[in-house]
Amino acid sequence: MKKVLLTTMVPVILAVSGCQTTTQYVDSNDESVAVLGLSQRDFDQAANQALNDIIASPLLVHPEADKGGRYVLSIYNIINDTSQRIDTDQLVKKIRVGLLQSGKFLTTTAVSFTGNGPEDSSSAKVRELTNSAMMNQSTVKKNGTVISPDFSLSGKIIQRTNRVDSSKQLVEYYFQLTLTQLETGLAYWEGEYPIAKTGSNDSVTW
Amino acid sequence: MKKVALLSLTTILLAGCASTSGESPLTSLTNSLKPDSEISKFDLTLATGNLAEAESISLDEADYDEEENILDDQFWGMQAASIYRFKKDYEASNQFFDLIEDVMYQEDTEGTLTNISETLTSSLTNDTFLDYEQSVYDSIMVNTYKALNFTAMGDFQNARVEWNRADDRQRRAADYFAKRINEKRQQQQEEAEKELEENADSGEIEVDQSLSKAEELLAEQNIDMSDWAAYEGYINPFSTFMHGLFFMLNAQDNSDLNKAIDSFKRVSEITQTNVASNTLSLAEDILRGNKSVSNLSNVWVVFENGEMAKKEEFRIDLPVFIASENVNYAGVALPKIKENTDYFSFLSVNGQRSEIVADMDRIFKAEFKEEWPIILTREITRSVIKTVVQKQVNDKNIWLGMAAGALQAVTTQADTRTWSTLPKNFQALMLENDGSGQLVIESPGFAQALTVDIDPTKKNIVYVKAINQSLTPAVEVISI
Repeated sequence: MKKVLLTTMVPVILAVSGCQTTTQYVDSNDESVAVLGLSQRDFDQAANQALNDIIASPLLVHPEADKGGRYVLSIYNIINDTSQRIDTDQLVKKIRVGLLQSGKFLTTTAVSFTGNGPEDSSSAKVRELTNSAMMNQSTVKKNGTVISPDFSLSGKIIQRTNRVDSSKQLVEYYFQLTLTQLETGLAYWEGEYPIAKTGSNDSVTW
Repeated sequence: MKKVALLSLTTILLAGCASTSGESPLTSLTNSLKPDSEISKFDLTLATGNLAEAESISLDEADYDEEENILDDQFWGMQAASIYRFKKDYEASNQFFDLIEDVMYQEDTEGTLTNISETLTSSLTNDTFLDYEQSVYDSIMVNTYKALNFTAMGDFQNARVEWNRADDRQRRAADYFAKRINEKRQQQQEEAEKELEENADSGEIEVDQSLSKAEELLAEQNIDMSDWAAYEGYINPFSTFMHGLFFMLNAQDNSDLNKAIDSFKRVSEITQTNVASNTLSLAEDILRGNKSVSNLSNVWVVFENGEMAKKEEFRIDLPVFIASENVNYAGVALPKIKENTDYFSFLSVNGQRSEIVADMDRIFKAEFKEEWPIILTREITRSVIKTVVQKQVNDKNIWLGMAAGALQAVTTQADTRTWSTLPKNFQALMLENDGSGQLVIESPGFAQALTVDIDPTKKNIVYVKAINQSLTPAVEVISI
């Protein structure tokens, strides 16, 4: 009888409680919604900390800053060494936007030394128009004008996962970033931003 | 029967909400009344070399819903993903493996209600009613294959993520077998007791007596698992070896090289193979600066040999001790392991033989041994419940009793689902690149040697998978 009751009541309860999930906006500061993986909030946090540190660094002040002098930054590679499928460009973009707004750096999209080539190949392609009869040649961009970068941004996101007890696990992410001064090859600035989370150990973190 | 139907109905209602994996209970209910022929049909088509038909069976059974992008059956999804991989359709293979990971996650985290409902249904039927629950080696191999697929596609960023996942699954494996399997056994025991209490005449049934009798009967079947042992830490050394190879050949920094060295050290200690210790020396030379990754041009030949052991059903007549009555005999269906023939033994290139870096039969048996007490308790509890129900029905109406007996006979079925496209073992050998741009790969099981083109200036991984003698081996060359 107990079982019959259970078998009949359970579906009823479920039907009443409903099982569809409604879509909702999430406030990016709302900490009640958290995942073991990396979320937008984690990227925001790491990027903001990195930005503040870069802006505050005395080594990264352009000698002609008062006359509007800015350093030019190229993006090398941010290695995703986690178990999460993430787009590291998301992190880089936040930092780039912040640096541009700070007035200290400009990012070049014409130069990249990774396998994928430059982010925007238009700077090179526009110069191919010198032979085009259609173009007003005085408007075609000349060679020798594209600015070579002063600094390169590289980094790595690392994940460490450990069991706390049978029901809980600890996940630590480390955002490691480096700005290399290209004249000397020296790392003028480095930052590491750890983020730690605990959650259920029932399954994996991704 | 009404009860079975009612219980199944509950499951259907519950399953309707959660997008869980596995056969729908309704399908299971129907299928349970006939022997599971799809598995043997699949095995047979592969044995006769009909890859297209095997693919079609696995896709039908996996029941992929394109609109919702979900798989209905994880087990068949794994078979299909393996076949796609064998056909070098890496994208489709990874699409299925990704979906399988979603199902695995649901299986790991599924709520108590779903679990109870599944157990209730299975208690009056059999284990094939339960959703396929991935073994630990399944989950490690899913990420390992995904990483290999991404590597073959030249997508090293995603391959890195998958290797990190495979590594995390290996870490979890040790934890699972050290702690969680005991919790699972305990939970199983409690559920079994509860089932018996609720089902009838609990005071009269002597399950322990039936269990101890079962052990005697199993001993008579020559089922001896005492020599079955896992690799240290329950790892799959093949996954660890390939993890090391990836991080060595694609090293971005010393941290990657250290990861590779840790992996090779572990595999070298566990397997005592030349291929692991020589690759370890190479990685150590790179870290010390004696060699450079960019100048390496070695060749690793990796061999997936044959087919892993399978589960087969066997039946025994078990006495069920009911205090007030004479002893009743009930049929019990249990899985046992049957090894497949080793057709190929090894590969050889220039007289150098491949060595076993992971024996999947060993991994499979070790895990089966850990799960065995759970499978046995569940089957015996189920058999006792069915017998008591049959006896009660029989006391009231002899015709209905006979019908219940017939139902008991057809629903007694062992769960023999095994990811059968996994190999018997993984082997590897390492060669210097002689610059000729060609390798001649021989095996005692090959009708003719394989001639493979490689890049004479780069690092090459030549991946050979031979399932059986009817199917031409698949060869993939990855030049980095």
